[in-house]
Amino acid sequence: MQQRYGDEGSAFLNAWLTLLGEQRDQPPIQQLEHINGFFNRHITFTEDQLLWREKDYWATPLQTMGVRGGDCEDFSIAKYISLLELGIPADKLRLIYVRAKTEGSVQAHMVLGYFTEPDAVPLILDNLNPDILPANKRTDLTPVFSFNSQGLWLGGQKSSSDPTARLSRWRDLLQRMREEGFH
Amino acid sequence: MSLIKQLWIGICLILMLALGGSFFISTLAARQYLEQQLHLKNIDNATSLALSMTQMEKDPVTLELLLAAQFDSGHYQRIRLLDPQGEVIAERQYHSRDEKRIPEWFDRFLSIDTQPGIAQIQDGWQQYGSLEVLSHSRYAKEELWASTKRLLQWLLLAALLSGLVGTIILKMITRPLGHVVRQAESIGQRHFVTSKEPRTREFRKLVRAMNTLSASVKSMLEKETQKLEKLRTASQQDDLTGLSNREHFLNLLDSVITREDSEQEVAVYLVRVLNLVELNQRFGRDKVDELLLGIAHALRSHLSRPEEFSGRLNGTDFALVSFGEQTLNEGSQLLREHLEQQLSSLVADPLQIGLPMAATDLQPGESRGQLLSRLDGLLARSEQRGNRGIMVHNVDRPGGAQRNLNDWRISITQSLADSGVDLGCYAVRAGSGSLIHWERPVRLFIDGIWQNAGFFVGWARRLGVLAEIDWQVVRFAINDIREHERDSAVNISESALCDLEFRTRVLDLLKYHPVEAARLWLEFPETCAVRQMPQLKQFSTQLRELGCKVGLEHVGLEFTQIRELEGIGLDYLKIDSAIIRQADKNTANHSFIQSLCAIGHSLGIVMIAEGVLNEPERQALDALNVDGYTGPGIE
Repeated sequence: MQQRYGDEGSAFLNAWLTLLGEQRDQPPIQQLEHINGFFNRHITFTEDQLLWREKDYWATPLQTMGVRGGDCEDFSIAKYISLLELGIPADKLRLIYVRAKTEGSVQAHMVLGYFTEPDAVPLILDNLNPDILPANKRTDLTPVFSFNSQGLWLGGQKSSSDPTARLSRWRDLLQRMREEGFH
Repeated sequence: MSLIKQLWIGICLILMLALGGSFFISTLAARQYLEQQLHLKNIDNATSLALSMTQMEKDPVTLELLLAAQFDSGHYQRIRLLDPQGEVIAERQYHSRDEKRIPEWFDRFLSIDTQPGIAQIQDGWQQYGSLEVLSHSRYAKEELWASTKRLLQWLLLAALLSGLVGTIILKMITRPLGHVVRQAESIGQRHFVTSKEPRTREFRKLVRAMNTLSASVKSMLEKETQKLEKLRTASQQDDLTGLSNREHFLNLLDSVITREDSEQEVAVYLVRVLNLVELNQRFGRDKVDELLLGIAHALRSHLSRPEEFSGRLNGTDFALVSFGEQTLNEGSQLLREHLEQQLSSLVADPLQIGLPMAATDLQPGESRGQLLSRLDGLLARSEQRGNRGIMVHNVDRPGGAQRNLNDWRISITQSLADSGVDLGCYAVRAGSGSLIHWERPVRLFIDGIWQNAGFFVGWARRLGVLAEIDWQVVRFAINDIREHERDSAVNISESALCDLEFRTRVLDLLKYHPVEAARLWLEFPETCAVRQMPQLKQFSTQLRELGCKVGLEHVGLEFTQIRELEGIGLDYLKIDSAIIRQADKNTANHSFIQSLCAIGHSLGIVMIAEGVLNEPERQALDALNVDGYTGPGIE
């Protein structure tokens, strides 16, 4: 980490690890608040084109933290992984493609949703709006489709060298994370 | 274990490793590939179906229809729609009609485990449920089974092909190897053959080395033989005429008298040049020498068979021994004509040179001295009859009437049919006294007694039944060996050797009696090695392969004319009694015998002396490196 992103990057990673340590046994709502705040404060929204020289690049949390920048997917993914690390079950979390209306313009966006109950309205963790709000309070967002890593990662016990994983962007990301040491 | 077997095991192991390994790897790889493809398909189909459902009204009927449509039009094992609590909302499952196209064991052994694809369906912000899609793996399994079968077929074919190719290659490698081994074995038995160099480099070197060895043995033998020839000339020949000298002639005559297989009709001629001193004064020494050479030439041209011989007994007397049915009168006339021819070509008036002649038959049981004194008497009377006097003494044949050819044919065939053959039995012993083998000369029952070979052998040759007699001898010997378990040596005649049918019959017989064959010794007359070399070489090799011992008898007179002695493959030689006669008293032949034994020993041949008369003779021969003895003096 230090080699790749310098002292600053590794310091940030250590801060993240400390945060994870502190929040390990806290109630879920508090965990959500801290994780959401941590990433929204410290990560700068940057286009993929600038950071990774690709139109749409899904960075792993380590990469995101290393460069301290990312777009909406990188925010959502980093939060998703952090919360999984804190012990929140995967079926309560969803990465949601949404249509976002901001000041008259419409853009494709991704947020993280947290379902307290399977059929409840989710709480939305977003990088545009720093507050965690129930989805029905976010009239600026319209949900399109959601997914998580169920059946792919937690459910799937495929070996890390599964060559087909690279074909799907999501599975590719999970694969790269695994190579970085997440399980 | 033989080299071929080891190579074969090596080839089989490599084949099994390569083919078996590739079979398992490709089968397992195919299975993994199929599993991965099915898993991808599950994920993709689940996601796309979930995406459509998310966009739709969540009317249960519509959703179920959509699910059913996907299921019915695709290849699925199962599609399930679950609510967030995990309860089943809708499900479609394929119930196989059990078309078993793959065997049970294969299914168990190489089952295809596919992960279902899972995707989420949302209703606005809320979860509606999750979708689980599992494709049918039957096609994949069938495909896997089919490809496994194809692979196995191909690998078996490949194994078969490589086995075939391997066999051919092994054959190619080992064909020259076989030759090399055979040559090496031959050389091991002191049978110095040369063979063609094979193409394989290592074998070529080996064969070249062995050929060099054989060649050097050959040249050594040639040198030794030349030396021997010189010795023979010095000790056995008259310097001027090249005929046998007195000593040697008398030895040869003795050999004829004592040998039991020599023919009975032996005619001895004596020619004397009268007044040699006067002739020397009249014509000069050189002219007289020419004259003597002419006489020698006439005598030589009178010899019609290899066993016959002539000699110069002293300055004036020439002698000749011939066999056969020719009467003495006919023989004398013929000899006279030969002599006249020579004389008339040398001197103007041949009649002025006195050449009286005497001839007599050898009588059975007669000694050399008796024969020679009778001849001397005859010649003295012939001298009184003038320059061209001839005295002939015919001897009445004892033991039965005179027979013609037809009588002989009847007697011999009758005897063979009624009584078969019998074999005499004489010991052949080594210097230590231990037995080498029993010599078994043939006997035929004619005129009420068992007759020696000498009695009938000449007639049998003329009648062409020698091969048949020899065949019976071999058969008798084989039976005898089985009964008494003793090593026996039998004589095979030149006529039998040249008889293809005889050779084939003997080889066939010996193949059936390998134990007896190992104790059978077969000996051929020395003349066979001079005149029937190809047959002798071939037959000897075949016999030795069957375990027999092969030798030559009556060796010495023509020994230096044998070419490629090292190529025949011989176990023993019997030296003619004429060579070893009176070895204790007469040292003339010692060098010759010594050299002969040296040559034989260098080829691993056992040297045996024939016709040893007494112990002093035996001891003298022992000092000359002879290995074994037979004859009247040996019990």
